[in-house]
Amino acid sequence: MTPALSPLSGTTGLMRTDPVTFEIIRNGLYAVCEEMKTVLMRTSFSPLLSLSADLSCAILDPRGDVAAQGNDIPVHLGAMPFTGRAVLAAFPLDTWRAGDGVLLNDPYLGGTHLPDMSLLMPVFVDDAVVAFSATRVHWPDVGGIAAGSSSISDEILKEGLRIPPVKIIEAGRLRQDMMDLILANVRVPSDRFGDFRAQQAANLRGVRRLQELGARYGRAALETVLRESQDYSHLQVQHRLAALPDCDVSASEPLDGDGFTTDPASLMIAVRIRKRGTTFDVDFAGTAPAARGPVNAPFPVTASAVYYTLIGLAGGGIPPNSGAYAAATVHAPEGCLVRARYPSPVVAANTETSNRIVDILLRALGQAYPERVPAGSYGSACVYTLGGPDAARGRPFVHYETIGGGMGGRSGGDGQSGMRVHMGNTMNLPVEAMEAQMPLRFHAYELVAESGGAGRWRGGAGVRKVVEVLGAGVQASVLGERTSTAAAGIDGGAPGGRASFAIRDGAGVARTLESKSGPHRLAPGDRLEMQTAGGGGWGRRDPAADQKGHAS
Amino acid sequence: MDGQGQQTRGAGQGRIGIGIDVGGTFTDAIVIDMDSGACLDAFKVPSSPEDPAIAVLRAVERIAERHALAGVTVCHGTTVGTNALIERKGAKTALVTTRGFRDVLELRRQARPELYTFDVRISAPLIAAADRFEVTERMAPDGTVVTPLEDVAPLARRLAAAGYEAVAVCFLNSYAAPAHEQDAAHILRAHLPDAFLSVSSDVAPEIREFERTSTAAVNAYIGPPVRDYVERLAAGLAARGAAGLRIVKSSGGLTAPANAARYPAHLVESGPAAGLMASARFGAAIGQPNVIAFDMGGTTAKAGVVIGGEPRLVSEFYADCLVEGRQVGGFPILSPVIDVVEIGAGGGSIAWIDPAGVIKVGPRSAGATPGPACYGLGGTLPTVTDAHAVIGTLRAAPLARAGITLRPDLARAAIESHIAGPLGWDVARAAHAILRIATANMADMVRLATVRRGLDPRDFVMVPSGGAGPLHAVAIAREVGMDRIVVPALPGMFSALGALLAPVRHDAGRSVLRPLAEMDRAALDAVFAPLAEKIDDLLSAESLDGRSLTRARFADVRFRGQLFELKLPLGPADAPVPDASAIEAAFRAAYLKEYGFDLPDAVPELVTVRLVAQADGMAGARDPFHPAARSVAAAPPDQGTLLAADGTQQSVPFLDAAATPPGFRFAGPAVVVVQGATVWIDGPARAETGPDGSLHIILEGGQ
Repeated sequence: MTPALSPLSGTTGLMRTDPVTFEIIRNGLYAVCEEMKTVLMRTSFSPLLSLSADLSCAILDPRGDVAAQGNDIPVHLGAMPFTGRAVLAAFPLDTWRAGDGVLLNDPYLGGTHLPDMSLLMPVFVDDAVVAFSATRVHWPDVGGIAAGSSSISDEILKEGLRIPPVKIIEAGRLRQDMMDLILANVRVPSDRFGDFRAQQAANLRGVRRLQELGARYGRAALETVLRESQDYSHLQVQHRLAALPDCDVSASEPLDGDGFTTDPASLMIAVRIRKRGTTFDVDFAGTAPAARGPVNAPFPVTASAVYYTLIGLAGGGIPPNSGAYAAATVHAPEGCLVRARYPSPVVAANTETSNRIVDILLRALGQAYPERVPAGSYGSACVYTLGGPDAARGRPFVHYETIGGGMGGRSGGDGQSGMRVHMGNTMNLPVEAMEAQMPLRFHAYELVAESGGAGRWRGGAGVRKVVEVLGAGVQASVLGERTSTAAAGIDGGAPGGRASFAIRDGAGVARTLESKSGPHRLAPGDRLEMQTAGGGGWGRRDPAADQKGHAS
Repeated sequence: MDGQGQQTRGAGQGRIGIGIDVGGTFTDAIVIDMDSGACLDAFKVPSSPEDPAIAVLRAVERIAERHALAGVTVCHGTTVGTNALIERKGAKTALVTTRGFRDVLELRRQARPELYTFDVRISAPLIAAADRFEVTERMAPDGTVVTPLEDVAPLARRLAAAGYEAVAVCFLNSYAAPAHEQDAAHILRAHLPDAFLSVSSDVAPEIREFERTSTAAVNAYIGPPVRDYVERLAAGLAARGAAGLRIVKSSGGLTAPANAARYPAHLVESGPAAGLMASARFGAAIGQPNVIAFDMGGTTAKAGVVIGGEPRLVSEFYADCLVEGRQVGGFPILSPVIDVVEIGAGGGSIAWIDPAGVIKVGPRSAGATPGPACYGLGGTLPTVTDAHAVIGTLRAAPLARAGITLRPDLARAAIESHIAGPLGWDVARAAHAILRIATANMADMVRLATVRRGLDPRDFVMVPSGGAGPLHAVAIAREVGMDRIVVPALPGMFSALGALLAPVRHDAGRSVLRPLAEMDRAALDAVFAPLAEKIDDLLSAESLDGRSLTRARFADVRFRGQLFELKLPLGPADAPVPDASAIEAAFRAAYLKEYGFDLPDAVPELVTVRLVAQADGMAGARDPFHPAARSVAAAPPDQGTLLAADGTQQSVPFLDAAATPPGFRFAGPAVVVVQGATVWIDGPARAETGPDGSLHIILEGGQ
């Protein structure tokens, strides 16, 4: 049995709360995040929120660091400390009143990509701000050049409405003028307002629960646990890192394309990882300059991918928060593809680039710790959007969905097939629910046979999804990955099958699409055919097992 | 065991009812006089895991030694289906789907249950890819045939030749347009007359293809074992002279063997549902319509909610989603099911210290083997039970009856070497810390069952049951702000009792998905009509024994675009259905109450209609919670000692509820034995014994 480290001595010197009260309040913080999520899903209007759960909840301390977070979307959550700091820079602590709410979506001022709307509300206990309740919610549309706000453009201004931190709720009163301005710039505004109300209700629930914890245990204990919860996770990560041998490893892979070019050199992401004792340094030097299309990652998205990878490497069971994140240091040249500057477009980084960054980090780490990391995965969220008039129902529609794919095999287990991996976890939208609400008909939702890379532990299979548009005037866009670079295997495992995208017209003639593509104008009867990549295999396949497999 | 003891055939000879619950270790049986409500007998026999029916029939034989079985119905909660599911011992099962969609079962909702780990675990599909078959067909949700159904006979012959014991059928949009599914089922039945057929539009006619397919798949997979068990048990009971058998469903309702065997997926929460029914009836008997039922055994703890005298039900749950303390997704089942929250916290949960020096309890459990250290069966790791053994709240006498010699010294050694020693604490502090953590975990569970569902635990009375429930109930109640706890008599037999007290019940529902405003009275009547037919069909297999039947309509309504509905009662089915504007007004009022705001511009949508038929179990009879007053002379309580957290010995009264007269009052702290279970009142409280041997506790500050 591992001897216990002295309680939290590694970071704070002293644990001021007794360990039992600490554990009770700390669990309480995570439970509050889960409750906020329940409120949001129950009251939101977008299927993307209520059915897909493209949303995240967290509790921030007064410095803007994450003390606790829900079991939500890693790319949302890893970027949350940046959100907290950006909001506090715009609105210092002494400017807050009870009932205030600050909204933002600008990736260059604390956001991730424009569709992600972040709302923070202060928690007052004994007339002082002790915490913030925070939510990040993906709106299916925030304006821009294409329905779904997830298409190809060459500057962020074309991606939709940009909102820097604004105090949209003042002491409990919604700034209706500001809300009207926002709604005037998005598609299907009434649903978006419903989503905003749901978000507000979730933040308020978080505020109320934290105030109850403060009343129960006292402000001092609550404030202490908000900090020590981070120290606790920090220590856990360090403890696990200390048990691993040191390493210097590197890897690089190009993205598939950005909607304008598929030239590998101009889409290259390079990474060097240096692990010494309990430190974990990641440097993206050598990465290509920012691309013309929307694959560029704002720094918080890149950092999120590193944080996620580190916690996964450390092993399960570590409560994620800023303390865990702080165990990594991340460097990237200003203005490169993984540290983009205004006005680079960024919408595909959350869903595509972030997952590719994880695979590149894992490819590097696989050289040092093959037993601890999976092979490459489908490297994508695979976002497709459809939108336009719905003649039958007399209203416009927007459909935004992600498609799962293959996860890489890992030591001791085959990769999962057809699931979301790494930085996202949004659910699919039930075909029946969509056909009942939108002018769409689905023709296939199935696993792609033989698309998982062979190996001692096989990669997971990719997914094939085919959707037909039934009405006229519908726009379609696709943001995918791995049409050209397959998911790599580890230790002799085979790469996974590649992704492909096409539009097939009513006569059966197919037109192949690039991995990032759109907006396309579809005719009734046109089908969007999408296939995501399989995961790579782990380890060389044992020939004896092969023979056994053939014999049986 | 008293064998052929006294053959007393006393007051209970009129009309008796038998309730039986099968647990992992013991099978519990209870016999009630249906006229007086008196409990005539309650006992346990060892379970027979290889075939649970053996122990059930053994218990019935023992009852027959004292009571005539003629005309007696046995009510029974069963875990046969649950176990077949969890142990993957179901039938050889095929799935037939719409072409292009055979992998829906495996693709699930594409989300993984845990994040920040590369070791992703997701329940493998119950029906593997090689056993999933596609047919060409397609229906639009409005019933338009997009592609006609192909000839299914060749596939049916293939399945028959391959020896499938069960077949699930789920076609896209069959929740609204079931014709193709029904046609295919007809042909499959002709070719596979002995196979268990599970048709999604029959089992769960609700929108969402993954959840409906999963329900049909579970139903097929556990169908043959459940059908065989129910038939075997019914035959065994008939051979012993009993009149009949009723099975508890996940909804807490009873059903005839034929219906139970048709919808095994509706039985997966049978045991816990029975326990919650007992809590509901007990609450009603003591004038408490709002109850939190807290059940704790060796490996898990559960919290369920009773509101207004009825167990809270939900329409969907995930079976087998917690494996080895990890969330793995499980199998969604669309059926009315009691809303119970379960966590891996029981008497056997192991306490440990994580690398940062924080005490954790569970989810690992010492289980039955090796068990807690203090049982002396080889366990060396400290458990929640060991903490009680050290503190002194675990009594030797009840354990001795189960053949276990309590060894507090081994408990002390386990806590010393794994918790107290590494932290530099003394054992008393460590033992109390283990219980505080366990209590906090279970308090979070109670909050999950209440606060997360918009309920305030302070509006409820806690009713603990199970072996360890009464030990922890007071501390948990205090933690969540409740001030009333009532420990029922026979807390360890609650599931057997609940089976007996449950009503016969059937639910039918279907998705509608139309704006309320579009529905005139005729349209509303039309959507309810097929539900009435289905209920009639189910009831034709039931003998109601003179129970009076009520039928009630319900509607699930939401704002269009939202996912979650509110369930609205629409009154009895023999009255005219309310018109759409009345339903909308009721919905808006309920929404405002639930979420604190209304959305005047949003469009209410009728999502699902439901019809519930119910025939009350104890109608006209008394429940077992009001037996004739006992006359017991008040014996002075013993004084015992408990080890306090600061290491001092604390003198505390120890009482036996059975040895105190009804209405006997005393103050906490105290330790009280209630029919084999131990109640720990761990602080200031007022307590009083009830007329039926129950124990009523009001915490300081309560009313």
